[in-house]
Amino acid sequence: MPWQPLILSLQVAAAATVIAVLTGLTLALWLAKKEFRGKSVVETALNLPLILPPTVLGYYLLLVLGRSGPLYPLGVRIVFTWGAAVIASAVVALPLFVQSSRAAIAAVDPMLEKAAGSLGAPPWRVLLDVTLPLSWRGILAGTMLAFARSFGEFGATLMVAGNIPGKTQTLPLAIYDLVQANKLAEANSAVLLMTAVAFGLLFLVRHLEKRANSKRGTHA
Amino acid sequence: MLRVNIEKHLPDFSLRVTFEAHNEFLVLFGPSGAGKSLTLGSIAGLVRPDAGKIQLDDHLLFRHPDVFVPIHRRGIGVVFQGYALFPHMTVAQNVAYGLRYMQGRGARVMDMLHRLHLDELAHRYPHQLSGGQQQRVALGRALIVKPSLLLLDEPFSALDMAVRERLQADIVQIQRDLQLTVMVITHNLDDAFVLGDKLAVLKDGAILQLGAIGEVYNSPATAAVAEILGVSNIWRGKVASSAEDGVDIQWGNCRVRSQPAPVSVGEAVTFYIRPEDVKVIRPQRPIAPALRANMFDARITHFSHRGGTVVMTVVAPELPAPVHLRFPQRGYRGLNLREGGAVQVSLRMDAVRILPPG
Repeated sequence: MPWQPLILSLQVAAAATVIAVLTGLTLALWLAKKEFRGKSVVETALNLPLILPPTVLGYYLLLVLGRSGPLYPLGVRIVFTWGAAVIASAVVALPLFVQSSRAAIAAVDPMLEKAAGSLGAPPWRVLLDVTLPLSWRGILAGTMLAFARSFGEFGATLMVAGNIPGKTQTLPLAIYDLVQANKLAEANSAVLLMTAVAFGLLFLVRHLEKRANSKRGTHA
Repeated sequence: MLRVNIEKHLPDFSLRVTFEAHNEFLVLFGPSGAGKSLTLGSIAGLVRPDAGKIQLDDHLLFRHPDVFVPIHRRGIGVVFQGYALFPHMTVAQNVAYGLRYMQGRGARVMDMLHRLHLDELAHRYPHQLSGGQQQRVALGRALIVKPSLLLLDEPFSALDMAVRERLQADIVQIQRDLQLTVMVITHNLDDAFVLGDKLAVLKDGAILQLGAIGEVYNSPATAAVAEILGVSNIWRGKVASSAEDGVDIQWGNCRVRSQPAPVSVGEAVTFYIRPEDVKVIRPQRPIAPALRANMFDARITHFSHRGGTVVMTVVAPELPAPVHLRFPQRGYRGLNLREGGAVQVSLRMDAVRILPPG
């Protein structure tokens, strides 16, 4: 088993998940609660990472993060580092998280939020007391999807972070190298591990979503 | 004291209402789409009107264009249609919820649970409760913050008759005890009669008539009001005797027994019965006690179907006016009811009500 790439993959996926959840939750609340002009444009753009080839996505990230990008003069030097892998994974994971958590938030009866408001709860407390407790299953499902997607991220990561052993080589990249070098035994164990993690997480997500649907209208 | 004077303009609807209520029940009555919910929403803080003013006691809640107190600072109790109980909280947690934002000024949870007969249910979740119990929880949750105004949105629409009557009595009692101003939205006239001091008849965004409930019912200002109130089977008579178990009303040449009411012998009264409470007596069948008092041999002068409902009118020699009936199409199968036919009808004595003097 290529241990070092595995550990790096876990670290990258965890950091990317944190970023995707924090930005994604804001986006999900915004999209679930507000109506505004151009909403469907925002929604479409948000789903682009699901469809675009990873190379295209990686190229865009290079434009933003690279030497001629807007962040370079601000001192951001993360291309071909661990940080770039995190950003790439987070962008790819974001739409999955937003879809799942947004649906869960939109499924909370707005009357409940109004009721909490009428009882004196300011909006941020309504969020903490009512909205999030009633949508946590969907949000957790989204978090696990985001982690699973980040953990398996390959293409965009390769574009912006490269494939530097010990530095930016995550497990999917290591598998590519192992297969190229015909080290099939090591590749097999890594492939098996990736599959098991993906299967386990998807299974849990399915279970959570099933529970969320059957619990709707009763207590969470 | 609640003073409302607001306008709200939507693309295909305009609301323009002015009214006041002071430590009493105000019933907003009207067909759906009349603007009842928009009015309630404006007072609760869910909707921002386009013009006007809303004042509750010495608290200015809304004034165009500069004042709009958000819902969580209005201190108004709202019982939402469908109750909107928090499904992830127990009965006790639901009732206690508003106290989180009260800094100790609210009522005590145990007292409130006790008052609404919810002690035994304190640790249940909403989905484990009946409709009537859920309604009580919603009421307790709204009252715990000691609001000076309580808004009830179609409070009884999903409840059966027995539960409905008990709750109505409880709400009347609570209003008296706490000297609350209560505004009720309903499209059920019976609720209006039991609860209302004042009735506002709403249609197409305007109040057509506002006044003491008996007054509005007895003398609708316009044909539109009469139509909305669905006035039929409303008559005038004289009290022949009044006792604790009921009142006998002299109506033309016959006597009609009604629910007890605070009236004295000789008093002229207005009484009514809803068409669905006039029953056909099946021959050779035992007669329910409530049907034994006001039985008449009548002739059917009108019989027609409307949707799944039958509308029928009967006359009898001793009855001064025709009586209207309404019942489900399958209600009296096998009786061969038809125009010109003979039929025995009864005005359910527990459904004959005397209107408060207007």
